[in-house]
Amino acid sequence: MAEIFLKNAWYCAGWEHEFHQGRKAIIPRKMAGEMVVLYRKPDGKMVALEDRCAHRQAALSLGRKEGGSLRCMYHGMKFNSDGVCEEIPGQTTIPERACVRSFPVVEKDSWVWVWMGDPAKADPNLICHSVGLKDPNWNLVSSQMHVKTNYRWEIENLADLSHLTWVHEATVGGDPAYGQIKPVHTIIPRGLHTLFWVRGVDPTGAVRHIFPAGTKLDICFDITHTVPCNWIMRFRAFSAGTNTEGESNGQLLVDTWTCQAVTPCDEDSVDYYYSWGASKETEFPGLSDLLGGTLDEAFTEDKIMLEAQHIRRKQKPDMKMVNIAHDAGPGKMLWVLDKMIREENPSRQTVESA
Amino acid sequence: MNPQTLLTLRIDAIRCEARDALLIELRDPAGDPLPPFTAGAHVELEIEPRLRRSYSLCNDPLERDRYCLGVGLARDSRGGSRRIHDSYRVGQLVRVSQPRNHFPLSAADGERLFIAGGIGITPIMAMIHQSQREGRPWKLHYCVRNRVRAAFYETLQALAPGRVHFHFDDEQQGRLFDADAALSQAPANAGIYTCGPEPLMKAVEAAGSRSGRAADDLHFEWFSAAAVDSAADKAFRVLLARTGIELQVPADRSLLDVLEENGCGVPYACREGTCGTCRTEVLAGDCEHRDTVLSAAEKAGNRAIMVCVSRGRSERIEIDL
Repeated sequence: MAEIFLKNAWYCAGWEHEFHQGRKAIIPRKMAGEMVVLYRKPDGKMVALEDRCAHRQAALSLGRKEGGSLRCMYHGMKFNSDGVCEEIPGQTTIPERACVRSFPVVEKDSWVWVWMGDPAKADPNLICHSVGLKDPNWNLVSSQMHVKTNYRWEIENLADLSHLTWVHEATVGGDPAYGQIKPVHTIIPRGLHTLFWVRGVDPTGAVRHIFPAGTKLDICFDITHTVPCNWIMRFRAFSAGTNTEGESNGQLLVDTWTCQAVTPCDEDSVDYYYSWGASKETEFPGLSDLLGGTLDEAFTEDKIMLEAQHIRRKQKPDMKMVNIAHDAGPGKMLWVLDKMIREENPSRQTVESA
Repeated sequence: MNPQTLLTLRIDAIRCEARDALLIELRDPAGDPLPPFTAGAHVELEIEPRLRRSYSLCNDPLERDRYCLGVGLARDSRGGSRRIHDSYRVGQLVRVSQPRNHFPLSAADGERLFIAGGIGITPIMAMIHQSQREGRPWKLHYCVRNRVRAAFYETLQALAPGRVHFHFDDEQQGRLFDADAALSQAPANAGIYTCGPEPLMKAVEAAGSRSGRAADDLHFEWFSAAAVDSAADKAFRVLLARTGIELQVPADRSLLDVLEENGCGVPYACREGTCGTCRTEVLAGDCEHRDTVLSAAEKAGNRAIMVCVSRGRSERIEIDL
């Protein structure tokens, strides 16, 4: 059976502030089909173990922190941060096989990243570029959401922003211009770069009241999308200028980053971690908090659409669907992902030539 | 699993079902269960990279361990069925798409009338297995040139001889299958399922409309005909401007096929000119555009091409690769 998840990739496990020193901060996640438990040791280092006791598959996330170790609270076996068992109450000999899998885990730009594949290949340089919450030049505001959909439909959603016109009519879209975009897509290592402008558009619903009536904007979307589904965008809005190609010659009003990581839990759900906020130069009090909150609203709109869509795609997986010109972005990003999945499963693609 | 992902399966058995009709049984090499299918489904078999042919599944959809394909030898076959009949062997690995179904059974049928012509019996066999299991009344009219070409003859005789009516062309003194008569014997609420050569399908379609039956009750498996007449396709040359590589695209290959075969593949998704994923800039030359992505003005402007379906009209085109 074919693999649906890329293994050799960094998967975002969430925002660093969730993994604090509290005794209950033992966080279970399902990532790329695997049960993972994450916690922070007293020395500050993050730990990611398979959330499954070696003894009888009890959930270690129901366990107890003891120093840097984690004790399973079913029969009391204690595992160190490498997943090696260091105590079995009631016996003195510890079998060699009494280990749980540990995953490479790295913190970067306020996110915690877990490598789901071969630990020898876990190169932190492969973690996508993003802007952290504590970056001195930016005021990013973070949030998260669980969505019951397949991550491939999230990729389709994020790689084609023409849906801004329709799904996000009242929040981050609405102008018919988004439905007419012709983005430039460029294949990059492990992903897709997408650039497009919309020019002379109305401010979106979420921010329209801030600007004088009649304000028109030029907006630049500069997006780096990488596997499995990390989506980082520099979003800049200018007062509408006269240029019809290239950089706007209007005045830069808002310069922002939004950093979004969609982590597939399994075939039917994703955890979505995201932030949005303005540069210190273009910030005015309350702006970044508005932007961050707007994403909660906008992604609730997406969630409603994607969950209803997922139910239908599960019901008729064979249905021959129609393609439209906007599918080029999704087509390219999924092509990159599928190529990488095939390449790490070579046995699945061996074909004897007929 | 990604629905586009191909499965690599092993040929576990090849049986000659009738003259020029092979039954090919595919299983997962590791013995894993296969993605489920429903009666009437087909898979696309990859004959060679980029050459795929659709074959219906004939086994009971309850079976999760195998796909059984009926492959008739097409007259004048150049690539697909000829290759399978001549060179496929047990143990060989092949790639197939996951099952898709454009010819599903309706649960609302009162009873079912199946009309099969030649190797068109294949999806009908799966439907018969299903109907038998459901205890739903059914009848089969099976048209075939002669007895030695009737695939599943013994199976059908053993299963329900009273429900099966054979029509052997060479035993009917030249009389054609009477679709009107067959339909007139089926109750008004019967679901009618036809798969076979085009003249048979047309005959049933016409008889169906004459009989005043609801269109929803008439089901046809049209083996998709190419929307574009490709018979007049000509070979052309393509220059990849960034590398200086020049390639010949033969009349029976797509530009995308040739790019991939030469290690110059571009991202693609639909391979039918509808999604725009393989859009490539054109630097010189005139193109025959067959996609639905570009507007008429863009096609006339000739600045981009969907390499999966569109071709060079001039003898040589130059693209930005």
